Amino acid sequence: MKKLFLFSAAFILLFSVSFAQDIRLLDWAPRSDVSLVDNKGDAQLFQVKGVFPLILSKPDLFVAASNYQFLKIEMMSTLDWQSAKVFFKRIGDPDFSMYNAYDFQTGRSGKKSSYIIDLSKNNNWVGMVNQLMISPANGISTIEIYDIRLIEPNLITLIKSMWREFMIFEVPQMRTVNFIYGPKVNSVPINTYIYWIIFLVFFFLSSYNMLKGRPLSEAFVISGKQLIIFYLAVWILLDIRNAVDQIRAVSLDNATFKGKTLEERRGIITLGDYYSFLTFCGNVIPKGSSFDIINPSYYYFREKAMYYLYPTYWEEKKEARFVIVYDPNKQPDLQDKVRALKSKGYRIYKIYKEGEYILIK
Amino acid sequence: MIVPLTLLALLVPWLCGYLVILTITGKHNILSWMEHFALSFLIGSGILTLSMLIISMVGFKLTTFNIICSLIVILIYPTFINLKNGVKIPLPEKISFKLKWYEWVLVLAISLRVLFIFFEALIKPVIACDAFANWSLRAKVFFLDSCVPTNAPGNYLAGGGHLYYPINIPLLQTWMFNVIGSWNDQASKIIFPLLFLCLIIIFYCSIKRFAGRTLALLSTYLLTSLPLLTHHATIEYADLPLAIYFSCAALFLIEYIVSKERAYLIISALLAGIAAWTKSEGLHLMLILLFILVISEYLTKNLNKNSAVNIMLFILLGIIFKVPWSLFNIIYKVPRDIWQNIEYQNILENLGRLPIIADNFYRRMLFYGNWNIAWGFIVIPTVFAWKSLTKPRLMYSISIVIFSSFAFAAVYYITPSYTWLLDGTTVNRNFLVVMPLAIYFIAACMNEIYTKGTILKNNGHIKR
Repeated sequence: MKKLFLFSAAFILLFSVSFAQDIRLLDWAPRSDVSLVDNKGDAQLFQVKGVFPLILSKPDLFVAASNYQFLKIEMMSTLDWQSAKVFFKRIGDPDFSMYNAYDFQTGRSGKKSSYIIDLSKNNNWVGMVNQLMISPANGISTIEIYDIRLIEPNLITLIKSMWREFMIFEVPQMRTVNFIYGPKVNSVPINTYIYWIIFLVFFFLSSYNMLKGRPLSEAFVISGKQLIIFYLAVWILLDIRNAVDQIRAVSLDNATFKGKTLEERRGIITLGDYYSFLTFCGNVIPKGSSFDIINPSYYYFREKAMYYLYPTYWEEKKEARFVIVYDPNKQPDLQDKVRALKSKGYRIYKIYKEGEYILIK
Repeated sequence: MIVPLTLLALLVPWLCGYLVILTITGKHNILSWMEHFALSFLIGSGILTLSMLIISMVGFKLTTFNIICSLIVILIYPTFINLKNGVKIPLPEKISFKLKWYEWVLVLAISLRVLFIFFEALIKPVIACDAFANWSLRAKVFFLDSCVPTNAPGNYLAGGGHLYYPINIPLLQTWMFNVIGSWNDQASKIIFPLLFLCLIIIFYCSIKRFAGRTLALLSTYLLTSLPLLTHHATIEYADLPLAIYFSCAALFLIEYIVSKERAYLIISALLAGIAAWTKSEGLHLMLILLFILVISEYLTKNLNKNSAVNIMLFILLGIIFKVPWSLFNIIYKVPRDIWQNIEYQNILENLGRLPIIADNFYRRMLFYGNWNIAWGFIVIPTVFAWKSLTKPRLMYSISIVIFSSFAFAAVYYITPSYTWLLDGTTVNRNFLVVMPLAIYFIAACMNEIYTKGTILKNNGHIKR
């Protein structure tokens, strides 16, 4: 037993030793929605200005993907639980693409954290990699990057990466009401592993009970009882894992909503400045009037307008007296709709800010 | 002032339900005080919202005064009966705190989960998409208009949103706004965690009827460990209330089948009716319970006069909650739900859907994080308790789970709702409805496996 233990330890040690040098990637440069504020020694401070900030590594890395499985990022953000992305460009790729990318999630704000990303999970992580690009946050924030390096395949880093993936916080969002993905390891649901383990445990328990000389039916029943206990233990462990996410959700919500008024809370749960725009609309449109809305398609703007503006009511088929225009990004298709309405006799009634106004007929 | 008013708003339906249940159970002490407490809110809330719909339909405004008057009218008879029969209010039995250490751990785990749910629900106002589009929108419309609109401008007939959906949950929120005195879509959310609390109390008491405290606590803990179920207790959809009303209806139906105590059947019928009044699917689920009742009556009595009375009783009490809403739909020409249109002409063409439906059910039940590892677990106790599968608790609970799942599959097969299966919008919410029963089945199997022959019956109560 002792020999087996020593052998296993040696085996793990052997695979965890890195024979090649990690590659440290320095001097990242802003590409969009972000600016470099400061270079503090090795660390770099970036100011994020938009929802999809991108920072670039130096070009011409010429790294063989097969030699480097992981990317380690040590950074700190002023936003909690952000959906981040790593892109890679290989020799021959015209530009970065969504296919050559890997999603990861950042942790708590104001805390230096280390993220290990297993890039080999992307099937395109092959050939010679030329440049990397990172999108570290989804909103206005400050990002401090301490260390980014490519790491060779090794067991300990692999375990760290798997653990990190297993512990990712699945932040409650719009689709959570329909399904929860649950923890994954190597991009495979943890349940898959559990079912295999349960199967193997039952096999071993049955074999053990039969080897003890018990009749087959008795061994089957005893193994079943033991298996149920084991399964329940796994269930409880998985629930503890879920509880970690629930504690994170409580912490996040407490920090977000504590001490806020009901109006402020409604504002927080509504995208951008949309709630304050709706409040403005509610104040200037006479109660009981009808409205229609022109809005981008990426969010349920209409439903929120219907909900918050009632007793001003949304009119689907007839031409409403008021038309609310929410077009903060000045999308051409929405501007065309506004032009069409203006040609039908609508004119500007009140302006909240550029791209957010009310038309009247 | 919000907190006392919110509690007052909850007290009224609770009191209403309490009196009704007291009338149903009479002098028979078939419910524990805790179960009576939880059941009161479930049934009382259904009666409250039904009376709100009726008084709005006959032209009264939905003011607190009018609603309370209507409740008084409804409750005169039960109160009179209770006074006449000298029914005593069930008081808490001597509460024992002599729990084993692991039972304390389970109690703690359940309590923490309940606290989490209350916190998450009450820290923020309405957040869920369909709440804005339907459930909470209608509640606001009813509150501001003081009625269920029948002649509203725009698309606001019956409050707007998904017109064909029943309005039990919106009216319950309207009631909360009425008593609080303002449109407070944060405080009114308390009904969702409260309904969840009612579920776990009733679930615990149902298991406790045939099993020990440890198994009852363990099963209740397992129920609270289902991620999608707990998430739904913090948002404003009607899927969880539907699941709660239906599951409790099924649990009391099983109790009736086992004990033949008619009060359980009456409670089951009322809950099934409220389920049908909560969401359209509730009607299909009520029919499944009716089918189970008919089968059980057939198996035990060969359908004699008494069983006909029981079946009629179930139907009548169940549809009481559905009739006013159906009448409203007919009178005011509420458009039909196009997603439930049966595609008769495509019945053969849709055969290709079957493997896709099966695949979706398989993946989402077993591999997503919605249900922890509950569906995988069902297989194990089923295999090891197979000799006991014909016992009523096991047979009927798993039958209801299977029939309900097939009913949902059938809907995907023959209606345009198939789209919602493919993008994962509704299928897990369907399973939400049967999860409490699935855990109940697991508990009943484990009881068979570990404690065979230790069950004693006593007047409908099953004690250890």
